[in-house]
Amino acid sequence: MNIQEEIHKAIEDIQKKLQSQSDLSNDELETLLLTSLIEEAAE
Amino acid sequence: MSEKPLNILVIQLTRIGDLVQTVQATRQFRNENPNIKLTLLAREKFGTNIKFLLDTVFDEIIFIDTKKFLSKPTLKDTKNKIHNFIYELNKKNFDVCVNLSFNNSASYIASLVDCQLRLGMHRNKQAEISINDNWSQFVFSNVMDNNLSPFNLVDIYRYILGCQETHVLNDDANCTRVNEITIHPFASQKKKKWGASKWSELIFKLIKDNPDYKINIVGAPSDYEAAQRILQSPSLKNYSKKIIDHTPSGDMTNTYKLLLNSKLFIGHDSVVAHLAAETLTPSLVLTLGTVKPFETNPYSNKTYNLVPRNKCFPCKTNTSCENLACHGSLNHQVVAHMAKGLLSGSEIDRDYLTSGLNAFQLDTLEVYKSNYSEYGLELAPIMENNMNASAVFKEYYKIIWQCFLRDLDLNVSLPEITKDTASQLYKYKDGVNYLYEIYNFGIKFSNKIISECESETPDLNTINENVKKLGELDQLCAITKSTYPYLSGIIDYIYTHKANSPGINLIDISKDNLISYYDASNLVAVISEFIEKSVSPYISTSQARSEEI
Repeated sequence: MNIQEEIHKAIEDIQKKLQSQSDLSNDELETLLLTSLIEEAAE
Repeated sequence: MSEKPLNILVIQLTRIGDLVQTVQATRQFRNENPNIKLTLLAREKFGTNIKFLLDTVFDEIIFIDTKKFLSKPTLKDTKNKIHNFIYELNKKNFDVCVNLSFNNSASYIASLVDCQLRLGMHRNKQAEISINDNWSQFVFSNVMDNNLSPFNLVDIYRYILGCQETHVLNDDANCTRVNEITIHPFASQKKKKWGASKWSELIFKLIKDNPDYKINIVGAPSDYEAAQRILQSPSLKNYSKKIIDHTPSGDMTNTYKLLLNSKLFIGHDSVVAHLAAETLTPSLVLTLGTVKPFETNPYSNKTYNLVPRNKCFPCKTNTSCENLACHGSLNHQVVAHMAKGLLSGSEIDRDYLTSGLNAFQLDTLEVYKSNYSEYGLELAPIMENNMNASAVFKEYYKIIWQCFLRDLDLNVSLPEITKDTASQLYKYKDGVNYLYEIYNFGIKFSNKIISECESETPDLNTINENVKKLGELDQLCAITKSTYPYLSGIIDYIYTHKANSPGINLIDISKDNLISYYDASNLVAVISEFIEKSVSPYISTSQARSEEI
């Protein structure tokens, strides 16, 4: 799996967790930080 | 024994101009609160060039370079880098984290910093946007998407930080300036800047009107080609010795020194205009495209801001525009005439402008002068005191937000208006009445939820019914906003405030929302009174004439 696929999978897992209304861990917030940095770098 | 200084992290991850404005706000906060340790988190690509300025206010500066985070091949390695970054940040034991950049990455960093108090946008544990303080809620609702905020961004940052007073740079009368005009004819987007030919025309006129002056063109190395297009105009062929192009070096420290020595700066909304405010250089700012002059005017009382009167101005970043109609509204002769007046020590007032310019040149723009007031920096029009409905609502909002969010009663009169503006405002009476009713229903339904929840045998159906009705009120507010867009200032603020209720259960949230609805109905009542007072000189007691209005 390349890094984009890994990120995509991690985001899917986070979204499933959010749908069950569970709290995210700091590790998961860091993953979301990473995706926002990637999006902002692409702008 | 001295108290341990309050340890504050300020996050500013937007652009270089926002960094200068952050410096200006934080400097004032520091003046009021000397016993603090200030750390800045900024993007390396924006902060490095102005580190000399950042160092005057911040005790420590941490630069973040996204490329370094994204250089690792696997997710695990990339996550480790981010985790270590956050870990190192938290080792500094911040007491307060202030996020002044309203973007996603900054909001996640703000939520990962361990601290006692968080100001600005961050995330809760469900990754939802969370904003606790009133002024950051104001930014989210009134600054990011609409044009009704009457406040300068530096002042808003000051309010978020908690500044009570305005502290401004001392004008050093001993500072000697030489006969130079520094020009920055560039901006981050095409919509925000004149084309090369207009700048060539202006520079030609400046040289003719002020033959003893040299012109400095400043900008980044990437602006070199654009600078050459301006300088290669045939009209400037004989004046190459009077014009120095500094773009090849593109050094911000050098630009700062040039501004310190110059008697005048002319440019668009950009970091250089904000640096000119730092050097207290008299400035002419040409505002175009997406720029909101009230928000981004350089923070100094030595600025004149030229603003087009086009209905489409200011536009949004994603609005496509081929005509650039607002560019034609700022005539280079107006700029040159004002420059000549400033350099000769004339007062730039309505008489001066009308003495050297005709109505055709002046009708398409408004000229604002910046001044310090009791609440911060304000822009006052030079040419015309009669405002359109949008400008009148800005004045209303200035009064109500200062009172509501800062407990400051502004001693100002309501603006003078024309009959046309009175007619536009009169139409808003219905919108204000609808909104007042909606918020009063909000009070009623919130009260029902609270009393039902607190009763011995709460009826879930009653609670659900009233919660649903509150949802319908939000939809009615959205419809009111689309019909009466100038009311969006209150509607969006109250919506954002309710969405960030600190309550953890239905009773607490409903009690907090009840207060929001009371506040909202009071704000709307004040707007209603303002409209009434503004239009009353034009409302006749006779039916026939009020129908005419």
